[in-house]
Amino acid sequence: MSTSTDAAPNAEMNAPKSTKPGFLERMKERFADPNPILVKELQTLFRLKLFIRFLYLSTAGLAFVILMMGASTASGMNPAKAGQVLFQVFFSLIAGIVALVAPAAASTALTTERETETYESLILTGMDPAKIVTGKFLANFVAFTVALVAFFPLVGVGFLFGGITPTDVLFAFLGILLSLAIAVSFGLSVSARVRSTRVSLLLSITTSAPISMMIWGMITAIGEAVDHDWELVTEGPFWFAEALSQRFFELDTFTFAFVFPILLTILLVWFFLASAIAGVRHSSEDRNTPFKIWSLFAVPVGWAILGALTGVLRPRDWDEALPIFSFCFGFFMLFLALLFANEPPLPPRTYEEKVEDGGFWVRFRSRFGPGAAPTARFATLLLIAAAAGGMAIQMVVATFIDPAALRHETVLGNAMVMAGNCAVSIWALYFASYLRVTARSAVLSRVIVIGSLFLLSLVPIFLLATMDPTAFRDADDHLPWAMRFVPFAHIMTGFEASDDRDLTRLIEGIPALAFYGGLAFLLFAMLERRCAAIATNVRQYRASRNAAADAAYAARNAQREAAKRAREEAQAAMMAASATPASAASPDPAPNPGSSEEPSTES
Amino acid sequence: MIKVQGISHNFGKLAVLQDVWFDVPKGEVFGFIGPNGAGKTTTLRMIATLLEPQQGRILVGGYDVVDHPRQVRQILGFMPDGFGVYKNVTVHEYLSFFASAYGIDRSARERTVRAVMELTDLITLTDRMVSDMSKGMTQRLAIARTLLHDPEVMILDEPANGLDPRARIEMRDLIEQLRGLGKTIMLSSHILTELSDMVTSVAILEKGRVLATGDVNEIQQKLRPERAVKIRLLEYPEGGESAFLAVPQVRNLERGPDGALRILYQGGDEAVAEIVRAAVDARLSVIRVEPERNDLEHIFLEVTRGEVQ
Repeated sequence: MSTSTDAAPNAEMNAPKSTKPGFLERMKERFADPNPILVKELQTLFRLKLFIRFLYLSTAGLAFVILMMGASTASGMNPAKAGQVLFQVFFSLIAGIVALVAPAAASTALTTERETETYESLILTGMDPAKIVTGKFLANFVAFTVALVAFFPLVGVGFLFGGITPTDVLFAFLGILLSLAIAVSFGLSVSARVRSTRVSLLLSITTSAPISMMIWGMITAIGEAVDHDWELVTEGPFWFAEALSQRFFELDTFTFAFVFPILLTILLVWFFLASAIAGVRHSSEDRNTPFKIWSLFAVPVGWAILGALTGVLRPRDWDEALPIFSFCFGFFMLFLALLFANEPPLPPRTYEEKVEDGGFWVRFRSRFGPGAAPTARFATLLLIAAAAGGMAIQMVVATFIDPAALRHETVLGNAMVMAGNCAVSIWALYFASYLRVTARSAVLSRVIVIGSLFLLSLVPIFLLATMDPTAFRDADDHLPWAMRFVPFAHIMTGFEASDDRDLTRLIEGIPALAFYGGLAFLLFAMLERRCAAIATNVRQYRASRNAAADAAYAARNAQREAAKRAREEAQAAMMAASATPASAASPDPAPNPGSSEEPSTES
Repeated sequence: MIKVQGISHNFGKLAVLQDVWFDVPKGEVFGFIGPNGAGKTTTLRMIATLLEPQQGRILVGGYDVVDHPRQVRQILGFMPDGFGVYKNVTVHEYLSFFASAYGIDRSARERTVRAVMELTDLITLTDRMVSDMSKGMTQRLAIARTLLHDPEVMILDEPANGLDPRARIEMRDLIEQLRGLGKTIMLSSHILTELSDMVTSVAILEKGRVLATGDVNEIQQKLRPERAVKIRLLEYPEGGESAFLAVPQVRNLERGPDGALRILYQGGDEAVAEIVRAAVDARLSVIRVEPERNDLEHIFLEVTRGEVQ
């Protein structure tokens, strides 16, 4: 064992820090000193025999399938078609591997650390949770990219037959990389929220498999829808590769097959990573702000999609399509509302301290910062802005394309839909937030809100169907009274006003607007009051807890000191008493050692 | 350095900790002893900011673990029960990784890692894979990791659990060294002999309650004012015991089965010196003086009144 005490590392640790480096210097430093999690994970992974076995076994399996497919298609098809089929099969198999294996592998990233007790050591280093999650994400992404590159030569079989181009392969590979990023980030977000590896594996596989199948099904269906207009020959989910390689510089293809997939991938990956970071972050820290920043990016992306969809439609379809797009946008708004209904009543303690020490701008931001009531305020403004912006972008695009074709009934009908979206989503936000604060369960509050939405939608229909079936017959002309309070009444009336060019239909949507808007306002007041009461109670509790602890601590110390003094005095008295009688040696020792009776040895 | 003030914690309906109070003074080696399931690990995890107490308050270096976890983590090194090490990396890679995770500057990282490896005697194992290391070595590696950021407080949960005698002795030496560096060390164990030679103060925990806490000698004096010393003489002359009984601090005396005299006395080491002086004055041939060891075991049995199995 070394005895050199000068080995303590404080000298280096406590070295004074230089002034803040510039952006370029920081970038240079970042590349020179990469994320330690990434480095460690890759070191571990490439030493793992399981990974090497996975590489060669999956490559061999994939090669076998591709060669068998090649052999079977070569005989009955023209070579170009066979090449395209092989291309689709190859990338579909890879997509399958990515959809199933990548989330499963990523979902164990943090749970295995928890189970082997390395997670605690890692957290206690004080490393930024964002750095931990980014490191894990990059490590998993790189590992799967290595596997994809190992599979890549197999696509060469398709080139033997023809019918595909290198740019097709390049764009298909890009599509796979985007889906890989989503799959890995999704797995990580599961891993951050679950304690057991078994549960996280089960959860990620059972969730990702059906969602992936649904998404690939949707992509195939979109391909079927556009293949005539875009003159595509390829059939299958990787039609976009051919579309991009043939029509990359066409505005519609570039926007819908290139820009939007990338934007949506960024949105999803960002969201899942923010969710994972929130799961790793200490409860006393701000977990909510990353989602707010994300939403400030997500809402404009939503607007862009709305604008682009308006732009690609023929003006004569606007009457029907614009209210329907706005209705779909309403689901996104509802998602945002429920996302921000997960806050505890008070902001985290570290944030409160920052606000107390901060200036005007920090205090102002705290009005929309973490905590149930400030977050609900932020979300309210966001939802109103989302609706107004979504509406505005549709109108701007339509006016730009064909101002004459945009009728005022469509504008007002669409406005009714967006206003209804706002009222319902803000009601859902405050209802869920209030339940979260009172019932202290984020899941329960959301389940209750979604259940209430279903009940409010279905019960009036059910009642009408049983009590007055004839009411539905005239629904095209006027909405039955019972239906005027359902959460989608504004959509029906807005759509009818736009499509039938009948502004009087808008009146039928007003009860729903007033109902949900009024409830939202009531719940807003209740939430603000409740949060203020909780804040007062907690402040009082903290103050009294600290005072009580200090008082009890002082009392205990005084008591201990007194007991110690009494013991010392008693001992001194005993010593004095035992020193006086000649302990001159009775050979017979005291029968009861430790008792206060002294042995009577004097006589 | 550590103040635990009235903490209580329940897991469901099970009360794991009930109104736990104790202090760990700066620079002490503090033993946290108690049987399995007493609540030691729960308390240590709370001190390490990994679990929030449901009631009460814990201060580490003046920082509340609930309100200022980040500041607490900066001055604290925690080694969990299972050591928590990555298997598929070398010793150097492992420590470099944690040095980087602690935010140690790249230019100082290598020097820091080497310094810590020297201190923990791992320098010869630089390129050894962690998976190939013995339990004793792994434990040293875990301690090395907690030292990287030069913490003032070290919390070691069952550090000697499962170690062979040699590794235990090495660990004891390492803890002595760390104490010499001015660290405050809190370590838990349910094996009392592991701690008896190391700790300067203790807290005894049973069924979630602290039964005794403070300096080992103080607790012993409080519980049982008498201590014992065994004296072996070359020969035992008739009436030789009277020389010992004449010493004011001596309370009792008996002959053990091995023939040695077991003398019960009150007071500290000066009483032992008096006893030896009395023997020499009486021209008794003293060949061995053995103050009774394993005080901690006696204290523990005394405090728990034999309830603990």
